Amino acid sequence: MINLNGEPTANFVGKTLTELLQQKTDTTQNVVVELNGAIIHRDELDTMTLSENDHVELISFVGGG
Amino acid sequence: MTLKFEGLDVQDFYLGMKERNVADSTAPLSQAHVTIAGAGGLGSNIAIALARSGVGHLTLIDFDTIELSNLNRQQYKVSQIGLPKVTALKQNVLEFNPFITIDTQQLEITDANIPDLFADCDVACEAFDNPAAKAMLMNGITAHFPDKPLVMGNGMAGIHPTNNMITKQQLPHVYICGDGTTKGAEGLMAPRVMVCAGHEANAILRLLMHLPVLEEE
Repeated sequence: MINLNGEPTANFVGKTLTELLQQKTDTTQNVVVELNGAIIHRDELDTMTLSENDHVELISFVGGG
Repeated sequence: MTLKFEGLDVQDFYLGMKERNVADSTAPLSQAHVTIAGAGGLGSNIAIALARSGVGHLTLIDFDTIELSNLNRQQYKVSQIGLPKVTALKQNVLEFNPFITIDTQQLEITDANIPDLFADCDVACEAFDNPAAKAMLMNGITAHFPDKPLVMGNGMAGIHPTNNMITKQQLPHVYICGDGTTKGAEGLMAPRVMVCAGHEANAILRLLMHLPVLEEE
């Protein structure tokens, strides 16, 4: 299990952050990925994989300003 | 007509403008430099609030020019349609506070120019409309300047109640203001955009005065 935006979430241990993003968000370029308190930058998302008990926050931005 | 300030010397004019400001804010704010990314509804209101508060140095960045559809929420005038936003905003802001310096950059912020554009500021302020640009800036600032405060806006559309708009600490140096959910496609109106801009500007003042952003001392 990982913790995703505060919710225990199954089936992502061993998957990459890109795979998580693709399944959990509509528009990946509007989302910033925070893993265990650190921002993971775009070029690392394809290679970084999730481990048991990781805390992930997908910070989704909406339009308007 | 005799203007009320006629005959005042510059120092008295300056002090008169500060009379109702919070005690001990003048010195720290007058030394501060804030760079604002975007000069639309958020950026124009934030720039005015910071200038009126006495923030001494502003950098305004936006590639765009003023259109009719901006006038419902952005601090521009009919006479300024067609002007670059940063040029018009500098004109307007200097009428509210002539004692500050304003640098303008009419360009698009990208991954590549973030290191140059944000190197000198004390606080980076995100005031874009486009959600992908918001995410790009958060990625870039946290990568290149991990200890620099970043204040952002996210979710201010429509005419929903304003009591669900907050300032949230996302990371030790990153604060995100707004309701987090309402999308610009439903329409953007001046009041909620101004509430979000007020959240951002107030968070910036607290950072510049070394006060905790979210708690009273």
